[in-house]
Amino acid sequence: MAKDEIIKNFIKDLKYNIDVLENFISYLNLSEKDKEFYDKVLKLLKSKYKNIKKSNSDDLGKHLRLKKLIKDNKKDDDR
Amino acid sequence: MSYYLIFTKEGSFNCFTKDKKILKKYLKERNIDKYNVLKIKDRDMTEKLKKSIEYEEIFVSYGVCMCASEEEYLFESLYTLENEAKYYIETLIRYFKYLKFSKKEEKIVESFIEKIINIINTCDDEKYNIDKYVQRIIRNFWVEE
Repeated sequence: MAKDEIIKNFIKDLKYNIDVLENFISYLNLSEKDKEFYDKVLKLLKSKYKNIKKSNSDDLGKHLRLKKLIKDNKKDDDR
Repeated sequence: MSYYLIFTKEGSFNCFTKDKKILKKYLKERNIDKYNVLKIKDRDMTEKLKKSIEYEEIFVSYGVCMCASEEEYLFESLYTLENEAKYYIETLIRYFKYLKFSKKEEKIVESFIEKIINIINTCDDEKYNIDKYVQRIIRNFWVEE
């Protein structure tokens, strides 16, 4: 799989997984303290996602372990 | 005494009640039109018909009126929610190794992983806000119908 496609798929999957997490959390019986904690986590993850999405290829390395991502995906392709 | 039979928009039988107050509550909770309701007097109900619908009598549970098929749908979808969440959250956790975090962010993420794994692996319906879940499911049940 080409590098650009690997990154594109990763970003798409990341978003979907965060959305699933948010939906799941919305059904949990949480204390106020836990609610605040999970809101903090979601805010952090969404911010990571946004930073990655708006980065150009030169900046991606600031937010992503690109080499590892590409290497692991190519390893999966070779299996 | 009368039977109030409630039908879906497509015209198939869904549930019934003999209690007018329960009927009003059920219809109001789901924003269902009274034209979906068929009233039959007890003397006009055959024993065969009564027997065929007896399992779909509306009851009150989790603070709302519901019937057996809705309750079944509730638990099936809760099971699906949990299994899907488990799969996608475990995937998300695997993706963390590709994201760059500061030391402070790493601590938050580690704490999150510990808490969420614990929740996913706990077999306890009380971990869910069932009232909230029931409200959403009931709306979806009638939309999908």
